[in-house]
Amino acid sequence: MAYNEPGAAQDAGAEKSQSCPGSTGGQATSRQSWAARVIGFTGGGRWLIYLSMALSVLSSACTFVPFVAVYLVVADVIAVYPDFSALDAARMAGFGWMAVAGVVANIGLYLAALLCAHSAAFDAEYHLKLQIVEHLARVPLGRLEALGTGRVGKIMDESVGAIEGYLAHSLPDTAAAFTAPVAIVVLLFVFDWRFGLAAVACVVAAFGVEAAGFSNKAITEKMRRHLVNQERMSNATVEYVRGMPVVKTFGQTAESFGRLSEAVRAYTDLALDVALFWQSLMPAFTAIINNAYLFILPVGIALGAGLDGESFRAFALDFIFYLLFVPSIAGALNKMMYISEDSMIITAQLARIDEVLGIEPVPAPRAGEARVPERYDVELDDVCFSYGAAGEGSAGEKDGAPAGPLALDHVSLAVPAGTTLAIVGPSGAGKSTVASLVARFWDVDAGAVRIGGVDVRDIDPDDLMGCMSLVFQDVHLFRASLLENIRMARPDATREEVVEAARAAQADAFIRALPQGYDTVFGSAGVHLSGGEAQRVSIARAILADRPIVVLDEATAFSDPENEHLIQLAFERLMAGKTVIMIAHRLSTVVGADQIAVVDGGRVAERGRHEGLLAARGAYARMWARYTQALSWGIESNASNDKEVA
Amino acid sequence: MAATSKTPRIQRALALTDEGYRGLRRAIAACTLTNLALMVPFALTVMVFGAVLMRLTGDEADWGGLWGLFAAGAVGLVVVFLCARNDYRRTYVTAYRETEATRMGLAEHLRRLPMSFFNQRDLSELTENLMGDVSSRESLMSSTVPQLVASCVSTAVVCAMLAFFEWRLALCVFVTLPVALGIVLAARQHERRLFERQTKARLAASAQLMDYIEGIRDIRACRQVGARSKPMRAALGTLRDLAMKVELAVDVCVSAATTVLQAGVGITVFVGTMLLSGGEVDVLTLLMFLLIVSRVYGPITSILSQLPNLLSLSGRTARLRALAEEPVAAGSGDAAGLGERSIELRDVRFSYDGNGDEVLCGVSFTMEPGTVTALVGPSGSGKSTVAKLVARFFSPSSGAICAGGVDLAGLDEESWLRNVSVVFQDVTLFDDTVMENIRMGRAGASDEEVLAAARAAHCEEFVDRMPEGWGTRLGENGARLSGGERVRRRSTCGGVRAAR
Repeated sequence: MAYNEPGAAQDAGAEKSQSCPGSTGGQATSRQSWAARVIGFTGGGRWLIYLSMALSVLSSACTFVPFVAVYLVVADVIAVYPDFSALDAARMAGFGWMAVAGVVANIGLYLAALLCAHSAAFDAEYHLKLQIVEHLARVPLGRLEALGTGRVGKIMDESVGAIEGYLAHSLPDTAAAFTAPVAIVVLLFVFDWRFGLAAVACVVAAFGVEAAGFSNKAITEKMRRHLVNQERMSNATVEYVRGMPVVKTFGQTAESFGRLSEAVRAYTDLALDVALFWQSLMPAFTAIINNAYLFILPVGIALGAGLDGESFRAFALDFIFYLLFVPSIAGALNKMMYISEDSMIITAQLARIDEVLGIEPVPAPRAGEARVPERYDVELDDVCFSYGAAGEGSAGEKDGAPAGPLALDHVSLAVPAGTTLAIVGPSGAGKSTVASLVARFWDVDAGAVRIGGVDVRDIDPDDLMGCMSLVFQDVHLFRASLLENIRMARPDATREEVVEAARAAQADAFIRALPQGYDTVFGSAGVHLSGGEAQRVSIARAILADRPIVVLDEATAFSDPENEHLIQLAFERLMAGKTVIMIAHRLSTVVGADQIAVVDGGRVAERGRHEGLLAARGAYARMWARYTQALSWGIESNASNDKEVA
Repeated sequence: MAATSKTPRIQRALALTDEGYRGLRRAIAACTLTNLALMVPFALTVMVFGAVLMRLTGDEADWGGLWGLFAAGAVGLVVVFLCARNDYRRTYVTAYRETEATRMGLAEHLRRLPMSFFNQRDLSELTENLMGDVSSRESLMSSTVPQLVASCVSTAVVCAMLAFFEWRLALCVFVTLPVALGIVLAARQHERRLFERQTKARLAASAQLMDYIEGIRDIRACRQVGARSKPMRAALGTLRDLAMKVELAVDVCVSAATTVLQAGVGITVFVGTMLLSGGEVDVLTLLMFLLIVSRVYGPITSILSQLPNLLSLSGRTARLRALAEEPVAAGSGDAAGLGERSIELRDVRFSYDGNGDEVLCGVSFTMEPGTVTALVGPSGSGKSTVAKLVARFFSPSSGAICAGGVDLAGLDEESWLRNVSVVFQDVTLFDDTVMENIRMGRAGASDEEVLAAARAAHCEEFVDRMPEGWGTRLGENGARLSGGERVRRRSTCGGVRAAR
């Protein structure tokens, strides 16, 4: 009598979502290294994992105790057969207790193993997440932006979660699964070796069937494509949902739906294809391990044929024992089925974690060699940079030939201390790249960026950040009070200083209007700030920080002129007396700058003050003409075609 | 998706389509059949025992007759194989096809929902619905539910047969089952509370983590790497401790239940040998029960550990059902040509949260065709809201917006939106080529038309600079474009639309 073991029983609650039945495993050769790596994540809790595996093996060994007890009962029964009144009741009771003790030990040890493993696994999850976050604090920010915070979040959630699940369940189960074959071999020597060999033959046949599947090249390839399809469907879903408001405005829901349904269909078809590949092999495996007695039976018939009297009695005992024992092989072997699947999942997840942990940190100057700038002028000296090279190679690869198109092509700029440089130019010309290089989000491919004559690469990254304030286009506010959000620029600032900075940044008024004023927690129910308001908070941050260099990336667009005016006022306060590099998206803000650089195609096309550049009648003069023209934007000319909203 | 109260409980709990429910029932039947087929090896083993015992008594009968049993066993193996193959096919095909149908159904439903739905709901939760919830149901359907139900059925069948055969030993085998069940069910309340706390802790930790990752640039700029990570560390620590607590509670409960359950082995041995020495059962019966008792608990243990999951199934699929039952956009009127008529706001009132602060309090004005209306005012005054109402991103709480005298609320949403071009401030781009992103504005536009629109929105210069020109893929939300470039490409979409 046997049943289908419900597959999910191996792990209550853990989702092996999307996993295909009997999916193929990774190479045995690489298994050692990744298993070691996963265990390595537990750090100090490593011994807990080993302990858990040991307990799990012991527990698994105890599963055979009830069988032994049953065997002993059968032995006694056959010894007295057919006079059962001669049975020793106390001995029988002893065997009963033995069976119960085996059960208790089996389960108790497994419980202990699970708790050890979980304790280590949860700890590993905790530390791994922190390790990733800490690593993120040291990598070039450009690399992080290229990777995308959404992807990092997904890795944190899914991949680290998979590592936890592997440590908590798969490792102890793997250890336990190997106990069964060992037990079979041991029994081979204790009992009749011929029956033992028959049992081994059953195991070999079962695994032969499985191996036939694993060795199939086509299915390995399909499994790989299956994972790709899964990712594609996932992306298509995100895009479908996120883009729905836009898609609806363009009346394209049918096309958008078509793209998603195509991805869903491709995923399902291949998933079924992979699943149905196993439709004969898996049932064959099931059929063999549940009919293990068929391997014992012919051996028994052949051996028993020539025996009589006492020799048959001894033989009968062995025969019956094996008939009782072999069905238990099924349960033990079922566990082994999942080992290869687990290993494949975990290898893929490790690779994703390495996408983050593999990013080289910003190379920091060696201790003692770090220099601290004493002046705060900023200089770009013949700088070349391309995103392609930075994106593909390691961050340290700065002397190699740049791979992608140059974002900056031999750019030289000098900003004397206390002056303002405004960078203007068409979109994509490389304006923001200049700011990124000064803040060392990326390292230059050639040339140098210097502050006070010191190469930024020779400054300790923390000191570098300490001498500049950065104001970005897209502002991130934290789930904390606005007070805390501003104060993070200078944690020792008093409340008065924070309010003073907010006032200077034109943020005081709207903050006071919030339900709890400065103590309003951003992100809490009903608390939303417009883009302009959020940027004013970040300007307040920068004013409070009061650092000698200011790098600011003006926002591309604002919804209303009122906001723009307030931000202009805030900028003026922030920039007073500082060395400023301003990425200007609107020409109105650059008129008073000490220096304007027109960047186009990664080169500095023109440089000078507003009046001088106008007189030169070059690129800047043309931009200015277009800008002033756009200001009086032709309602007349476009009236028939445009509906201006907001 | 069925919503009537007459729907079978399992179908409702799993939020299955009628087709999926039929498939699931067939899968359960197939699994049950396999379980029953698996009794063939058991029955034959018992018969072998019988033959061995016969010879022990000196009855030399027909030892060679065992070869007949072997042949029957071989046939049994083939039967088991065929049954297993059948249930394998049924469970997987049903699970995958049902998942596909659900995904398609939800996606189809989503596109019929009103704009306001997308503007008021957390989009990541919707995505989670379509991916996560459906996936976990898929694995439940392929590897848990059919096998569990089948195990319950076949265990009951075995139980009944054994009781008929020798009720005292059958009682020994199954007497521990109610106690074990009781333990699992009693612990459920406590576990559920823990689960809820764990879910809350997980969400909190995840929010803290994302807050930190998304703000890492600002954190580094402010040199707050250590300080700002404190709340995140605390949240992760809380989650870790709570997860351990949940694990402890669940594992101890399942272990206790399993121990109690398997104590049946000992009881069967005690009582069995007692009955045997008393001559009340014969040795073959005892052997049969010993064989049963050594195997019967595996599947029941699986049921026990899955029980809490199964019982909370309906909670898991609640989000799926809620989404499927979300009312679709009202209105079916054809809006063709209405864009050329005047648009009138009549006493429009609107608040974002339904009943709170009104953003628009009785706005009325008319926009004549072919004219430009500029909305000006301080931030938060409701300018964008008016625009969004006209585009039907939201519906007015009261009052009406009419085009050519027809209330927008009565129009088919997509039909109306064909009259409107919108240039967004926050731009969503799709992971596709530049060309396709622009063509979005009007499917079926020729390459020439797309290029013309792109030229009109001044996209050409920067697109030409891209590595693969118009064939360059933009990546998620146009990761490779600067902000101004994004907006411009967007307005190109409006251009391709050539809306009135």
